[in-house]
Amino acid sequence: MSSDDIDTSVVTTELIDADLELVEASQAGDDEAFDAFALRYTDRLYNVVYRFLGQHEDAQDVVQETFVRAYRNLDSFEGKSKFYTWLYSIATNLARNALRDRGRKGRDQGVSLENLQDIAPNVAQVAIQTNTRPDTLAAGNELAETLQTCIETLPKQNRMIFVLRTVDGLKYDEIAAVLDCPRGTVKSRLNQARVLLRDALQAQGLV
Amino acid sequence: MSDTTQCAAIREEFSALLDGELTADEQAQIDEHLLECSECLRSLDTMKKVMGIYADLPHIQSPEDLLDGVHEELADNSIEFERSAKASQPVSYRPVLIAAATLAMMAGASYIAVNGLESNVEMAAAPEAAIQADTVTIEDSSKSEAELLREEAEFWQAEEATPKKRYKPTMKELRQLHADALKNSAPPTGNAQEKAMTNDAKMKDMADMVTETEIGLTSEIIEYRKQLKEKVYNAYTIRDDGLWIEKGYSDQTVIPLTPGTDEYVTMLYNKEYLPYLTRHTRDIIFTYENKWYRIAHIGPLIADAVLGDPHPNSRKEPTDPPPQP
Repeated sequence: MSSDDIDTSVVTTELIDADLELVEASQAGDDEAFDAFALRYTDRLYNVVYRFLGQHEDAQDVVQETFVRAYRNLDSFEGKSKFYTWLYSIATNLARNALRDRGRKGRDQGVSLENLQDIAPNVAQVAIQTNTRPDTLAAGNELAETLQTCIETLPKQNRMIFVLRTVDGLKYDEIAAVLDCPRGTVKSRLNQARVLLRDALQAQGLV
Repeated sequence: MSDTTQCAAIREEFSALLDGELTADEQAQIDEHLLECSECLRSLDTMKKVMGIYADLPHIQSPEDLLDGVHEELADNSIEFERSAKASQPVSYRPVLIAAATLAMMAGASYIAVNGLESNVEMAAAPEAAIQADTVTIEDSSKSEAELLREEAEFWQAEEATPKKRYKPTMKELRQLHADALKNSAPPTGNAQEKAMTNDAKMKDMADMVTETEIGLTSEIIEYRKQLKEKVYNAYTIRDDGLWIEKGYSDQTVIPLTPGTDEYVTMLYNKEYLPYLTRHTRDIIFTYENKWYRIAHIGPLIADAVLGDPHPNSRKEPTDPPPQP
């Protein structure tokens, strides 16, 4: 099976093996192999980071920086972990840093569950207020905007776990490896995140 | 365990239950509870709906130029010029091998002297004296030391003021250069037995290997390179195993450059700095049978050949247009 035939939407043994081949080729100096690897994960990482940060520009910066750092540190990857885990670790750390930096700059004070009602009392209003996201609004996808806004109400530690699971479909063990935390932590925080989202969506009358 | 406490414990497992992350025993325990607890069953149903809603979250296409940004970032920051010269001392340089190697590759130079590892490049009048003393000497009778120092200071001020003023190869160029290099990246093989190849035909073939049509080379740099090449040929003899011998001086260690390493990757940029840096450096980056190598700590013969600065404009600053505001 060629690497073109591999389903890259989910992590499989085949994908991991194919990753390893590309990584080894990249370590040997094959930049095209690195490009192929990067292409394989660009969309996935972008979606994860965007859902975590809620801004396309920041998401693009983070994903680009992720690949830059991965490229520069290829030699330090010794194969003790799966490469995508290593890559996701870089991305999630950068994303959390970006969120922290954004908060410091006052660009994003976060959205709390308490003020969500004030900010977005209903879906229609969300669509109006989130006019900064023309891509989804153009498609008339107000619901997606509301869902994204609700994600951004989550505490950071819950948010990343929720995004890795929901957007990227990683298993609990994989998330634990990426975030370097116990599996039990992943499990409990993910449940907390979903409970918070349930409350937020109920407040919007969506469930 | 009270019903309320038990329900709370059960509901904490809902998320994992719906994700299929519970063991069979854990799942059976929950199933048993749900048979008797309609509240928890409703709660589970709501959680399912929440997860179903988020499962339909639209996939977002990443920007098409995202990876171009990665390549640009790698290109932009691949060169770090380091300066250690102090105005109160003779011109002294920290290693700038990577930068110089970059110049070598981008300029397409077959033999280029670069890098002054831990060495001071001092002003003096006579190259011959420098050879005898095994030191490197720059002769530039047209300019005083103070003038040269001032020029250097101005150069670095301009460099620091516009750190992005560098040549950015397109991805097509970058990939082609890497692909070409990869095809011929094996290091030199064979033992160290000397098999001197001094015949002129071989030398001429090597001289012709480098074409004059590399991307963006100016006629000035091409001319500079020709002069430099001739001088290097006169000073070195190459052997079959890739080892070079400086004629009448000593053996030199040849270090193959490995594609993909930082040193190699950064060889791809900044051709503009070639004349400036080669004037002050003491390693040689060269091609031999389409592979790239480095010779560290070159001897005075080569140093003299290079540092003689055959190119009158070697101190010119790069001529890239200023970045758009």
